[in-house]
Amino acid sequence: MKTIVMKIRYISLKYFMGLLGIIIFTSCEKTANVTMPETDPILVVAGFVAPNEDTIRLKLTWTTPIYYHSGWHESNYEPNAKVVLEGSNSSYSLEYDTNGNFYYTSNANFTVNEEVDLAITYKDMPIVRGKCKIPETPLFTIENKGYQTTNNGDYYENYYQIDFTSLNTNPINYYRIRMIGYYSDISGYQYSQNLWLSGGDLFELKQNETTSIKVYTDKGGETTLDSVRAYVIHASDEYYKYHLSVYNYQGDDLFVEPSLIYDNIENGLGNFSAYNMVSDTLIFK
Amino acid sequence: MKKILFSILALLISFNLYSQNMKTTISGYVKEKNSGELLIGVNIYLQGTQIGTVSNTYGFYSLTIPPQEATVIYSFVGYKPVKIPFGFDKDTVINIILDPNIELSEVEIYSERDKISDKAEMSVVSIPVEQIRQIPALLGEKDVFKVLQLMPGIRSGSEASSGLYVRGGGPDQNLTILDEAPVYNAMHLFGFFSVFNGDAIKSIEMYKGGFPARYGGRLSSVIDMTLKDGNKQKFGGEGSIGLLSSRLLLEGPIVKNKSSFMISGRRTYVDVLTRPFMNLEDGTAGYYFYDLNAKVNYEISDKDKIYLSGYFGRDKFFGGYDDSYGSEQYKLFWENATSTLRWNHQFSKKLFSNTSIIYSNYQFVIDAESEYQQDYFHLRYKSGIRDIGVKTDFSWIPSPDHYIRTGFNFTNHLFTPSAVVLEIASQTIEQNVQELNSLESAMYIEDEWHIIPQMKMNAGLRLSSFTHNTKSYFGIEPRLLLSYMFTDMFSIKASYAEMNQYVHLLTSTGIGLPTDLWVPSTDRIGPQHSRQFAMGLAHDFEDPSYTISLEGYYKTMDDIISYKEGSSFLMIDDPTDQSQDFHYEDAVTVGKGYSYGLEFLLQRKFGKLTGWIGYTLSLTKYKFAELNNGNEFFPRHDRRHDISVVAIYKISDVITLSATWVYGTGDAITLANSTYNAYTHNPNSTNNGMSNEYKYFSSSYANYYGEKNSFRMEAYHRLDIGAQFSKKLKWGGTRTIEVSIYNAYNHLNPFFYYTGYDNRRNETVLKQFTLFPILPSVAYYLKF
Repeated sequence: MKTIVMKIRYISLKYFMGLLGIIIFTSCEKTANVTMPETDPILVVAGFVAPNEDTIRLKLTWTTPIYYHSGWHESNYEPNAKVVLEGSNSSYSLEYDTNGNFYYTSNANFTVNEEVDLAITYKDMPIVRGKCKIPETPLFTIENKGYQTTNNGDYYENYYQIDFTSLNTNPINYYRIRMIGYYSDISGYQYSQNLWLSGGDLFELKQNETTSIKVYTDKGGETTLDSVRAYVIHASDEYYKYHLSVYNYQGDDLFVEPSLIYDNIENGLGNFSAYNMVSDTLIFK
Repeated sequence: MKKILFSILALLISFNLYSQNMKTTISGYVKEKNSGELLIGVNIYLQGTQIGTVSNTYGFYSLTIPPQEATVIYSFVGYKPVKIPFGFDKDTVINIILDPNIELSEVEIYSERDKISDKAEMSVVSIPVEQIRQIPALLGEKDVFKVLQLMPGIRSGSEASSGLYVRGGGPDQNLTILDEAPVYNAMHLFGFFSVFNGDAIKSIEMYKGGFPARYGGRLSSVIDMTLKDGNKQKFGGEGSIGLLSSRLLLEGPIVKNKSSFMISGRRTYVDVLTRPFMNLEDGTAGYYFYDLNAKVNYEISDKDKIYLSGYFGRDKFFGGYDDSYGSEQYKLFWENATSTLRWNHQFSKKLFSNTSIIYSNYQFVIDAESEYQQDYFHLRYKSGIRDIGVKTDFSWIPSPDHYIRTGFNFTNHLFTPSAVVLEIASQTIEQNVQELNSLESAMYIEDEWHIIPQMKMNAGLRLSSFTHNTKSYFGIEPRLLLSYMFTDMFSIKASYAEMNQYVHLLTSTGIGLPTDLWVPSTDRIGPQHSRQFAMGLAHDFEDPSYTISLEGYYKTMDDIISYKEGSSFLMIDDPTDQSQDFHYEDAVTVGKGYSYGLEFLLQRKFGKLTGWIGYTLSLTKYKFAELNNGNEFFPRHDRRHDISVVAIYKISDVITLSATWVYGTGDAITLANSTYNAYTHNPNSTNNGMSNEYKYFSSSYANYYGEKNSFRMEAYHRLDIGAQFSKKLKWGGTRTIEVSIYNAYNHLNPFFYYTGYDNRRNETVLKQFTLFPILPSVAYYLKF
């Protein structure tokens, strides 16, 4: 049904673009006569900190200028910066892993509610900084409301209805949920698959608020899941806003407002944020 | 002592009553000679005094005159004034006929009361309809909105767009009414032309600020247009043939001097002209638009008149094929329909009323049908808004010093954000219609008070309300305008107005697509609100007759809405999913804005050379918590400098030359200047074969834009020139041939930018598309 709807919506685009094409065919194209501002490369950070993980990884790359540039986008890793994470009682200097192209430490020991500061020093550039606060352990209930099959005419829609209730104490809590489904075939061999959640895997919930999640599997008919393992992240608001902005990013679409990816890095781009993850298993069979 | 005081008081009261009783009232209607059209805005005043009034929208006037020897003058731009010596000792009805055939000198034409400095109004744009026909236009299509865009404080959305951005406000903040009915999508062909046929329009008045209390519902402007009534004395018409469309207007009496009709239609033949290029294999495709204005009126008696008017217009894309294997037919169209039934009643010489029943309907439809072998499929998607309303206005003119207006209106809005019917194999599979009902109402009172000879004030109050489901909003909207005349020719004015807007337009990128959606205020998204303060100077010159005005304004806008980043109309909920209600609020965010500026206008309305020079210096900024990281940014339509020069030179009765030059600072747009990897956290995956890099991070390319709308497009400027050659034909008609050139010096104004590659320089560059290079056109007009 959704494909039909999207098809209809794109009919309108088809005719707009058709007429636009005629107009463009009769119009003129040239290199713009404007002075583009000089754009120095900017350091881009992606680092996520958790209290119950001793290994913390951080990506550090550069932006690539678009104009007056002969190459396409390059993944410009920066291996020679000095990266330091500082908590209330500890400080860690990260090393560079050339295999994974990231900075890391295996000795981290941050705790819930601890504030962590990031400082990146590179040559004589202004220090790149970030800050986050480790969120509480996720508190929630998760309940399987049943398996649903909907006949949409030319295809079946199969999903589990799962209710998730936020029990964390903040007025607004941010979550990210990943689910892995396990099923076995007739010979008893067990398989696993990543499950897809309708509406995405990011949630903003008030205390004690419940959201119903449709969890999709392509295993319809006779084969259903044995169990689902849910990885629940209680995220800081920077973590949530960044991942939501990347999820909603549309690129250069004429009919869509340009979306800016959230960043909380001073003198740079990207995201430095924190999360706290636990897992829970729902047995279906 | 008490007896003496009582006697004096009684004497004063009786003297006052005696004086009041000595005043007489003249009233009546002002019409045009030869056609019988009621004239709006005619000045009626005592010669040599500040005592006077103007005729209202229905040509009615009332003037109470104290006992004195005087001459009453009736004057109107472009008409020969009528002078009547005053000597009436009782209330008298005087119906006046004004002659448009003037042969007077420029000085004589320019009457005492046609001065901008004398009017108790400001921030008003009033363009004679005749001038619209003389200004050169794109492909010869005379367009009311394109001419309005040439006035200071009003700018267009983009190249060739008819959308109006008034003092920093968006296109949704303009109330466009045609014979009191709101028109929701006033654009043909993506906004290239407005839906208003200039031949059928009698008057246009646009308020940018200083709004009288009788207007409300939008933040930034009111465009009040009145259709012609139709010639009450003889049949006639006019028509034109242009490159893009043809028009025809017919008018005449139904009962001579009592009832008349007017009908005017326009249709494009783009579909015919492009058919050779749009012929697909075994199929066809095309586009056309048409509009139709019609009006009838009838004078029941001296005190009662009724009018029925309507507008119908449609834009349509179509295409499809039909062969031995099957067929597919697609239609995409949008249409407006409005209708107004009005009843004028004159209670007395001083009290006049109008009651209207108003209907307006806008809808956008996609219809797709296909048949392939035995399979049949039909889908129809519709969105729109429909209004049904009733409105009553009273005009009471108790004395020359007061012109009191009051009234109320109720409008039921029916919003249809989406309505879908899906049929497969002749069976209705899905039928999902979502309709949102709302009630908007208002009452107002305003008094145009002539306080002292040099000072006028228009003070008013408007109370408005809006109810949707169980949520209600109320608004108090004070309005105040003051005008002080230092001399007969020079005045200073100031105004303050608060406006509420309960109906919102969701629009993407300002292109003006018919997919723009009208939605109501709800419990999650409240009404928009504006406050505007304006101050200005106006000076008239008699010989030669120029007007200079300089006006500054400051406007704040609260609770304005915008699509969230990454959202568009395509992201609105799946309309076939019956488990989900329509929630436009999820795709929008609320913020605020402000705008301030200075507008200069030098205008000449009489003589061989007429036209104006307008300059606007302005700044507009918006702030949304969810956009641009909560920082202030320029909206796309922010324009620092805006210049327009319009010149119409009538060499003789046969030849008229015209030219228009416009200049504007480029639009503020968001342009990517770098790319980077936006890495996200990858918590737990079943893909254990991943490399170390992608096991913990997911990657996607992203553009870095810097601040929202931080890039300025190249400045826009363009020169249009035209020449009209008229000739009276032997059988009495008049034919005019117009030759015009749009963008005469072929400046390639950018329509939009995109990233391209220059192979010669071997680097990525910014490229632009220009929509219209130099474009000559020719049109033929006939009036009979």
